Amino acid sequence: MTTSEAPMPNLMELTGIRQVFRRGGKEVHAVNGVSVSVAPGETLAVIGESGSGKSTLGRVALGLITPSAGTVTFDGTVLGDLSKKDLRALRSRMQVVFQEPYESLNPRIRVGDIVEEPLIIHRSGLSKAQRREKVVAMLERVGLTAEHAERYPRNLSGGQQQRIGIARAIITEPELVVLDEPTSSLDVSVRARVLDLLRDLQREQGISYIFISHDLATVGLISDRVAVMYLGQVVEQGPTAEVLTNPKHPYTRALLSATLSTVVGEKREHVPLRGEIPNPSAAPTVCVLSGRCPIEIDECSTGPVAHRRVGDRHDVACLRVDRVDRLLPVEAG
Amino acid sequence: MLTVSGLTTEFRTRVSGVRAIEDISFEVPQGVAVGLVGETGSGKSVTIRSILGLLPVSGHVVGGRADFDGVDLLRANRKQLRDIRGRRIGFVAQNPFGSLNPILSIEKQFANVIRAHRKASRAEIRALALARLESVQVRGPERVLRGYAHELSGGMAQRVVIALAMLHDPPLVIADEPTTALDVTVQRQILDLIDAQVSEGNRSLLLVTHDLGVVAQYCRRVVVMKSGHVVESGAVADVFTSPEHPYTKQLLAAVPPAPWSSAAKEVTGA
Ligand SMILES: Nc1ncnc2c1ncn2[C@@H]1O[C@H](COP(=O)(O)OP(=O)(O)OP(=O)(O)O)[C@@H](O)[C@H]1O
Ligand SMILES: Nc1ncnc2c1ncn2[C@@H]1O[C@H](COP(=O)(O)OP(=O)(O)OP(=O)(O)O)[C@@H](O)[C@H]1O
Ligand SMILES: [Mg+2]
Ligand SMILES: [Mg+2]
Repeated sequence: MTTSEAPMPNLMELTGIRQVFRRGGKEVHAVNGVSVSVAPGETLAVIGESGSGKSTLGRVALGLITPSAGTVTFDGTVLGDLSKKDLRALRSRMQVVFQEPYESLNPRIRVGDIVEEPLIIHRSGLSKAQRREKVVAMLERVGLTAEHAERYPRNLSGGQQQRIGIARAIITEPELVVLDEPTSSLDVSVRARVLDLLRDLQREQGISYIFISHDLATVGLISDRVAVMYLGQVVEQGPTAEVLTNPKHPYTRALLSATLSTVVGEKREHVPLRGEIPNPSAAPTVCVLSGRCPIEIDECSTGPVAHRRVGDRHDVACLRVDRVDRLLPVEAG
Repeated sequence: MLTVSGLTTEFRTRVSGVRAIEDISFEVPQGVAVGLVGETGSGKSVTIRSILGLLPVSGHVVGGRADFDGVDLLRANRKQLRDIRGRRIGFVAQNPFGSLNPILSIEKQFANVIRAHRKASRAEIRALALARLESVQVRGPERVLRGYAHELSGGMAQRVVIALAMLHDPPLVIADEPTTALDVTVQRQILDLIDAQVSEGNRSLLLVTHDLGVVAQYCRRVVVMKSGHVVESGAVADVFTSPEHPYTKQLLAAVPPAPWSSAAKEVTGA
C-alpha cells in the first residue's frame, strides 16, 4: 500500500475533543483538544500518563459522556446529532471493557447471566439454549469454565473478573470495542491467550479496538497505531512500530525508557523528567511538557505547539523534534 | 518480620468446601521486599486476605500460622487485628475503588485512617494528607482531597490507596497489584520511594504483581504460586536466572520482548 492511495474511511473519528469537569466552581480539564481515528479492523492503542484523560476519552468515544467540545463520528454518523433512541441503537454496535473489572460487574447476578445479558438485548433471535451455549463457549475462550458461570463476581479472582468483562464485551460481535486496561490483572500466559483471542476476532469479524494500556509490551503486540497522551493532549501518534522504536516526543522517550527490565541487576538507563507535575485545573496554553522537559527552549513556553508530521502518519507536538535523538538517558538509581 | 507456615484456606458453599490455597509457607524478613507472583486465580489475594483477617464470610482458614510481632495473626481477635492493620501492617487491596468509600470525601477518609490510631487536628490531617499525596505523585492534591472516589482516574485511586496504607509508616506493607493503573514513570517513582524505605531497613514489603520487571528490579525474594500452592521460592537472583519448577520456567519464558529495546540501545549509544 502506498501513501497516495485513498485512506480507508474511518469507523470512528474523534475531532477536537475537550472534556471539562466542573464541581464547586473548580474545573478539571481532563481532555484538551484531542483528535484521533480508528479504521475498520484496526487497533488504536492509547498510552500515556496516569490521569492524562485516556479513560475519559474512551467514555467520550462511546457516547457515555457528551464532550464539552468536539465531535464524535461513528460510521459516518455524528453522535451529538442523534436522538436518545438512535444513540442507543448505535451504541449497540460498540462495547466497552471498563478499567475496574469488579466495579463494572453487577454483584447481584451470576457471572453466566452477566455474560448472557448483552445477547438477550442485542441478539433477540437466539433461544435460551443457544445463548447458554455461546456463553460457555465464550468463557472457555477466555480461559474460564462453565463452573465459573454459576458464581457471583465477588467469588472470583481479579484476573477472572477481568476476563468476565472481556467475554461480556465481545460476545455480541460488536464493531468497536473500547478496552480500558483489559489485561492488567492477568499473568503473562493468560494475557497472551486473551490477546490472541482479540486478534482472532479482529481477523474473523473485522472488529476495531481502542486499547488503553500502561503495558507497553502488550501495546507493541496488539496495536497498529499508538496515541501517546500527556496532560489531556495527544503529544505523539503514529504507527506502533514507529512510535515504540523511534519515539520523537521527549515524553514518549521518558515513558519508554522507564520500563523495567526483567533481567535481575540490569538497571536500564532512563530519560528523567524534572520538576513539578502540573495540575489540570486550567487548559495549558503552551507545550504541556514545558517546565519538565530536559531539552526545552524559550519558545516552548511562549505559545501552543502544533503537531508536525515526522514520518508516515507519524505526528508529534514538539518544537525540538530535531534534537530529541540527542536526549541522553541517565543511569537509573 | 512475617512468617507464614502451612496456611490453608477453604471457601464453603452450601454443598461442599473448596480449598483455595493449601499449605502456603514463606517469610518476609525485616528490610526485605518479597514478590508474590503466579497464575491468575492461583490464590495470591486469598493468601493475603487470610493473613490479614479480611476473608469474606464464606472463607475459612483451616490450618497454619502467620506470625507477626509475636502474634499469630490467624488466631488474633478482631480488636488485635484492627490495631495491627493500618498501624503495623499497611494494606493496599487489588481493587482500589473497592477500598475507597464512595460517599465520603477523600479528606474524610484520610481523617478516618489517621484518627483510627491517634488524635489529630484538622489542620494536622490536611497537612499530612497533602504531603503524602504529593509523595506519591498526585497532581493537584487539594482537589483530590476535596473530591470523591468517582472523580479519580484509575491510577490516582491507586495512589490514594497507597498513601492511605502508608499513613502510619507501618513496618510491613502488603500490596496486591498496587501499580497496575500507573504509567511506568510514575510506577517507578513510587516503587523507588518504597524501595528507599525498605533499603534503609525500616520497612518490609510483600508485593503481589504480574509484572516480572517489578520483581526483578525491586524485590530480593520471590514466591511463585500455581493452583493454590507455592511451587517455588527463593532469592530473585537465583529463581530468575535458574528457575527450577516448570511453571516458573514457563512464566519467565512468556514475558514478551520489549519492542523498543533496539531504540533504547540507539539512544544510549550502546
Ligand atoms: N467524573 C469526574 N469528575 C471530575 N474529574 C474527573 C472525573 N472523571 C475524571 N476526572 C479527572 O479527569 C482527569 C483524567 O482522568 P482519566 O480517568 O481520564 O485518566 P486516565 O488517563 O484514564 O488515567 P489512569 O491511567 O490513571 O486511569 C483526572 O484528573 C481525573 O481526576
Ligand atoms: N469468595 C470466594 N468464594 C469462592 N471462591 C473464591 C472466592 N474468592 C476467590 N475464590 C477462588 O479462589 C481462587 C484463588 O483466588 P485469588 O483471588 O486468591 O487469586 P489470585 O491469585 O489473586 O488471582 P489474580 O491474579 O487473578 O488476582 C480462585 O480460583 C478464585 O476463583
Ligand atoms: Mg483510566
Ligand atoms: Mg488477586
